[in-house]
Amino acid sequence: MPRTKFQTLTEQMFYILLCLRQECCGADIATQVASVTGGRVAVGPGTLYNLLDSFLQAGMIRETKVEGRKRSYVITADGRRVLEEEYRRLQILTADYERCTGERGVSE
Amino acid sequence: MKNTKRRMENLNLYDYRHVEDHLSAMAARGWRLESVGARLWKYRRAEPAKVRYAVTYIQDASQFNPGPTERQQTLEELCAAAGWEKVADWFQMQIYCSEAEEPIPLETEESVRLEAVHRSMKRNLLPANTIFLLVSLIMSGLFIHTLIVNPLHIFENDGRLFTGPLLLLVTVLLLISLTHYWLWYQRSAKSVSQGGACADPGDIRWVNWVGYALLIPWTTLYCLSWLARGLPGPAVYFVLHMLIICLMILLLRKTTALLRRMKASFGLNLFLTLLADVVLAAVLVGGLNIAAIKGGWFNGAKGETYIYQGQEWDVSPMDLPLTVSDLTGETYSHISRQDTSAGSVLLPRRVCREHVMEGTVREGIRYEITKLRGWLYDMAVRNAAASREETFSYRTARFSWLYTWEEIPAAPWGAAKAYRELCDGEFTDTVLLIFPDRLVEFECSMDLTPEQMALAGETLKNA
Repeated sequence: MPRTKFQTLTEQMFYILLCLRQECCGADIATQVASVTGGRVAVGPGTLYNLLDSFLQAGMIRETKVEGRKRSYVITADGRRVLEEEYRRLQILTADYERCTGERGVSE
Repeated sequence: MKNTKRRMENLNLYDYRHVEDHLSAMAARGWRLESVGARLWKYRRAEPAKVRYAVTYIQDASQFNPGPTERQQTLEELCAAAGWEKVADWFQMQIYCSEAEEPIPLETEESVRLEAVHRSMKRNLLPANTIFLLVSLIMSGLFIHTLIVNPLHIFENDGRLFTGPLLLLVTVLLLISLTHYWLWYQRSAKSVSQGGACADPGDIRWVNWVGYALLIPWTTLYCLSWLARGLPGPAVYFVLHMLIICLMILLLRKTTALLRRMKASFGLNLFLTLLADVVLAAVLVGGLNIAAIKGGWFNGAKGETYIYQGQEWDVSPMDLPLTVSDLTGETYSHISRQDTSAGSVLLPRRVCREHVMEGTVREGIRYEITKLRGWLYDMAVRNAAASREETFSYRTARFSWLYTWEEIPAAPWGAAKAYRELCDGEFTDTVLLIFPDRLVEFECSMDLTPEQMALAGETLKNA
């Protein structure tokens, strides 16, 4: 069920999981995502809340501590596997693009 | 100058865009949302300002919670960090505002938003409205079936005449509302799956306005129909009943809010609110019913009575169009009379009963006068003269009686037509008299002479 739901990750899902490789509180995730993507990807608090809730239910992250209203999370093995699968999927997409067009990625 | 105002907002839970735009427009006009009630939203006066409102949805939000749940607190923390301030909640909808120029939107992923909206709708409004729709559909079906098979059953009763069309209206409005949501959800899911935003639900507020526009005149018409028949009692009862329902809703909301302030748990709050609901219904509606019965709002006030030989008799009997004394020329020491209005605005009916006693002699008459109008005349006459079966079951035994009518000479009664009732082939004391503008069912314990028949017919024809 969770795998079907998170078969592919959206950008926001991807970056939230990426940030949670290290324990992080909810409020800091949005800041980190903006920082990692240079402001290209913004995660709204409503979306962040709902995604964290879904990840928790799917066992992709777990809660590590609660300090007042502040909750911290970290990615689980399941979450890491989903993240890595998404990374490999993106790699395949990039490789297919390069093979078909003969061009290297823009970043290189 | 008032610093607060309450508005009845015509908004839909899933129409987040309209809620956000409306609240921002109110703030620009100098009114900031303070709290949300069942129907009335409370605003406080403030300097007109550009305030951005945004909403999100949370599953476990409830008016019975003693305060924000852990999930709500988590959301509030995330929103506060992004510069959003919690304003109020409406069912699962969480309303936030921000005065920042360009705050990060509350929702940045449409698929997540759509899922949250749909989850909230599934939590209360969809199941509640679906159950309501099913009940309305069944009742509307029964109403339509009766209208086709036995229309007189509806036309001769004000309650059925009033509630039938109302049920149809409710059914249609619910169908439109649910279909509108379902279509919006389908369009949004398709759009989101293609990388787009949730669809614009369009303006569905007209459904509620149509509801009010039809309900208010229809209800007024119902009350006026009673008043037109000279029966203010049922109209007063109906208006008071409606007021009591409004009062109960208000008191229950206050109860829930008070318990919430007192930090009562979810379960305790829900239990005490339900208990208050039952108690208030028993006290207020029960009190109204007792007042209506004692005050004779429906059947007229009952005068003083006394008991003699195990039967209740009137101290000062009311006037009736036709009495046993009129027929016999005798006077009686003990009299009991009743005069009741029944039927409907289309088929007004008057039911009179009288029992008399003198020594060992007991007599009684009963008559129902139904005034007939135009297109209902033939239908009512056909229905009255139709045979009927009555049954009675006791344990495994079942008894039945077949009542039929046999035409008798109408001339002695001065009627256009006359019938006498038979029960399993035996004549009873009841005759059916048909006049050009009414039909009268007349039951008499005495064998009447032709003169008495003529007197009865003449009196009932003009009563």
